[in-house]
Amino acid sequence: MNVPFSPLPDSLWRVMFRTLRRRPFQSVMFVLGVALGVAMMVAIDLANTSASRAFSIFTESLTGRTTHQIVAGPGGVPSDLYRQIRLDLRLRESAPVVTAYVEALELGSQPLRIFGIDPFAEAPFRGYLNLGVGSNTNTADMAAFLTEPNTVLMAESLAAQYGLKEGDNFTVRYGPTRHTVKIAGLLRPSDDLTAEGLRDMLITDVSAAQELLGMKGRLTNIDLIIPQGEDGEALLNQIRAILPPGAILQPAAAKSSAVGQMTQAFNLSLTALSLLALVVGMFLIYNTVTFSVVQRRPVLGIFRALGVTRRQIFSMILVEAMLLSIIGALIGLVVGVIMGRLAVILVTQTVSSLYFTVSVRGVEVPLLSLIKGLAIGVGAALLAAAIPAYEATTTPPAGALKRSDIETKVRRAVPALTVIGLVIVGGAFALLSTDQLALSFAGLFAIILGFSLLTPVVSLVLMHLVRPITGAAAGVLGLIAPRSIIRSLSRTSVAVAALMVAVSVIVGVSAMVGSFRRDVQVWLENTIRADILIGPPSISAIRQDVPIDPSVGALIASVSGIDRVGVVRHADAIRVGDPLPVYLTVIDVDISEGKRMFVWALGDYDAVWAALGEGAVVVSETFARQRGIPIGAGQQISLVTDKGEHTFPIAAFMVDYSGDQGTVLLRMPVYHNLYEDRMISNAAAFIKPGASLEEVIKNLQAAFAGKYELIVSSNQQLRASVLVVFDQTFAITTALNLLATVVAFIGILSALSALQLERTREFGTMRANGMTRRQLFQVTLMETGLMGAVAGVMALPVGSILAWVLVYIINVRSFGWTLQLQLRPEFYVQAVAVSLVAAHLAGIYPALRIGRIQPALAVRSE
Amino acid sequence: MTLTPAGMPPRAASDRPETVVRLHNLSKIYQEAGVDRTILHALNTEITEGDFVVLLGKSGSGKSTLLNLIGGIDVPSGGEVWVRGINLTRLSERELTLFRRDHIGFVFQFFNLIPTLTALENVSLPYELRGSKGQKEGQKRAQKLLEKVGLAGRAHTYPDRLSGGEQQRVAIARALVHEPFLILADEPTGNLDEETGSSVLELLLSLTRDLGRTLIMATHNPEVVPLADVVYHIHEGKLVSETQAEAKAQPR
Repeated sequence: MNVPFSPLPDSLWRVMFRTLRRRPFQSVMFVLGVALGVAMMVAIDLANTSASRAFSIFTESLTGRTTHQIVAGPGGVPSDLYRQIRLDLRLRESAPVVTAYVEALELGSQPLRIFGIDPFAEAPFRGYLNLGVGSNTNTADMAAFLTEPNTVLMAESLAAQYGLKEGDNFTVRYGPTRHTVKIAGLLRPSDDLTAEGLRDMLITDVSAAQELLGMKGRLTNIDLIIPQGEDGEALLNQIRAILPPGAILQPAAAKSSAVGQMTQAFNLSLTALSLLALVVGMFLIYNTVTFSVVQRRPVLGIFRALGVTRRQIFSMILVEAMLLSIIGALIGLVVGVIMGRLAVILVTQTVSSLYFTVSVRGVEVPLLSLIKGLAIGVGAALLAAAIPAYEATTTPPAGALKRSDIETKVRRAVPALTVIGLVIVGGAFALLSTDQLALSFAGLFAIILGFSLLTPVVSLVLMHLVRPITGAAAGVLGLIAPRSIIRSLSRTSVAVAALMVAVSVIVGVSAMVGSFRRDVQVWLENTIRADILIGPPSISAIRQDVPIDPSVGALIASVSGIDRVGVVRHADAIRVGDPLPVYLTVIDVDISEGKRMFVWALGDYDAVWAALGEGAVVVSETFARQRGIPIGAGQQISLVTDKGEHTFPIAAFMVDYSGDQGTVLLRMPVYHNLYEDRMISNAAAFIKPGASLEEVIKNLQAAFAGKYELIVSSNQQLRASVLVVFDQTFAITTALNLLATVVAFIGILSALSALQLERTREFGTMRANGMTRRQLFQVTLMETGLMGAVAGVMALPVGSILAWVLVYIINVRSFGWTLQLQLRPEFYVQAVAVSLVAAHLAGIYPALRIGRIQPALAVRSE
Repeated sequence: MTLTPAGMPPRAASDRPETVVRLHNLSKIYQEAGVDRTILHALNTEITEGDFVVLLGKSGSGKSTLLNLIGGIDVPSGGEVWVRGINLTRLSERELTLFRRDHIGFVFQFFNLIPTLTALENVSLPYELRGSKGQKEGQKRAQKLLEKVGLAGRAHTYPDRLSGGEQQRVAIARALVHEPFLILADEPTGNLDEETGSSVLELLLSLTRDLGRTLIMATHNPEVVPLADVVYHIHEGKLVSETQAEAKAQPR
């Protein structure tokens, strides 16, 4: 095969291809290492980009050409303001919007956004809703859309999916209420982008939306198009002058970019996990290439004697690695796209429950993701292959005394490697002490790398320690295993490092998730002490801001068996100078019964409760960390209320796991004093002593029947459902963790197989001298088992450090949650067990294979 | 089978013999467990073009080390190696490699053929290493050489299908394909039975003589001595120069 411009003569190409063909096992392992790493990276990348793309298309489709928005706190923007702007200020380019998510029951209960608009004001804002032109819709029923209540327009594709047509009815549920809506027309968007934006929308007239969402006389926001320049500024000032106290004017872009940033930490942590798979894959590649170099040393020596230059040898090994890595990366891309479809479901689930409702139907496969995957895969492979390739160039020419054997070199390098490893670990902690999340992840990887470099010295020490024991237990056979681990240190230590990394990550991540889960449980037990919780069906697991009639509180109290009732209002408020909404938790009775946990408080619980009564607020730790409020005394927070800007002193910072954006807690009277909103969001009830919980729940359900669609759950059910959400949230983490282990397992399998197969002649000699297959099996498994043990032993401290970093640094920096690290003994037992099992499993194949070879053949093999 | 000097083509009288290899105070010391072990001690000699030089000595006496130093695949601890007026000790690693590629042919005891290349490809390899343009020419030369060594029919056979003698004949062809002026043979018959060894030796000698190349051979096969132009005996790191006549006269 002739490759133009290649510095390699044809014969070297021939040697390369034939070597690859003759060693299919190694080639397959190499390809697998690259493929798995690339697949995971691409899958996560696709999931992340699909989710954020869906989000940005969605916000774009909602925002359109809007430049500014008038928004308000919990009560919304008064409709009168719109009339004023349009009539008094004569601002024609203004449009009212009333919007919220509803569940479309006949459409698979999927969340759809009700988007209430004024058809006559829309034209300048969102082109595809331009109903007057009629190009996008069937105009036949436009009259119905404008005049009949509860009529909607929806995308033709969505209707087709559920077999709906114009004139059909279906049910939407918003919180505790259901409504029947009629399809007045189907939208046929002319371009794909518009189609995607429209996919999850039900477009209604503004008044119909107000009716459906219980927002009579109020709007979600008023969209404006304000020209740039002095005229625009003047206009903005005019608008500001007539704004009611609870409303503010903000640029449209500010909010969407702020919301987009919320998911950055989440995306970054997923990317880091997928990179981990690549790192483990690199160990695998390093091992494979090192092995092929060691195996080919005699041939390389001949080449050197014949005048092949070092550079040519280096190129040969690297070109080989490149060819295999391209194959691996291409396979990885295909697998990654398939895995991406699964990952996107998990990511969407997490994003929806933690951040905002997002629905991703298809996985977009942007060319950039594929190119990135290919480049990183090939690049990582070349990087991993570079060390052994360089090593290959130092092969002495055939005939020269082979005093610079690679293994003695590695053993000589052990002190240097140890020092470098320690320095890198030290540097890692320096990186971790910075505030940057990305640098913290770099620190995490540095810890992994640093400890990997310590594997040779740990292996050496442990093998010297274990040798007398195995020798005493199994005689000469017992000496072979530890000695051969030392003898092939360059490869055994890499295999051990790969396994150690994977197992450490298992320990670290499971300790983090385990600690997190336990803290959430403790928090639930302390915070939710009411016997029964009542709330509307909710689309989001975390947000509970659907308004319900405040009279529900009284209704609950009237049910027999109920002792007392606490109502809670959740709503988004506006913080002065903050584009992100502030999620309020307004309570009248504290259902924690004084057990709420504080990170900092001005005094004991009673003092905090008293301060709340006087108008102070309690801020969750996550909220404080995300919005840069220092935790401690003397802090305050300014919110835009219906009575204008109001500054609240912060009485305490509480532990709260209800969402990663955090919340601000205040008391109902204070809220009612400052806001006009009188709705509630959910309620908690305590039953009378001696009353039957089941019976009271039945009574409540009977009381709601036909009036409100409310979910009544017992304390236990609620806690369980919170943990279900928790587990869902970490499903992707667990899946990635598992995959990294699989990559590591394949790594150690390939390393061990290669190591054992390399010694076919040695084993053949032993077999010829009377070693039974059983003994051979024992020696092989003892060797792999010892390697697994070293990995397991090292994973204990390294896993603990990773857990510590994940809990106290990454987690705090990503999400703002401080957890109590809990290292349970089962994590360690699990770590050692996984190492040993993986190592033993990996030893079985080579042991069987060598056992099957006839001793005569084994002795003859080159 | 016996080999006689008469069987070798005589060198033309008009040729002015040139020095191909000159050793100047050449030493090689190995470190072994912190202790210095002198293998070669201040060797001085000159080897003339076209000569067949035999290095005799016990195992471990330093014959191979000397060959390696002359061939530029090992570096001396002291002194100089001059080959055709080039001081090898002054060459960079890369220059040494290219020097070997262009001017030296190696024949090893263990044949050292590339297992993934056929006989023909093994032979044409050194020629091709000079640049892929030479591929066709290299194959032509390789084919001719394979005919000369009697393996024309095995050109496309891989080394593992060849006998030891055949492998060594391929190795000889490989050592000559790029027309090096110096051929270094380290125990070329050491791994072969006596009869095969003799035929391989005869082949190597006749081919190098035909082409007028210098051949330096390390061996402990005394059968070679009568055929050599110069015989050196390496003893305790020193080079004991002996002419062919002296070697013959002295009982060993």
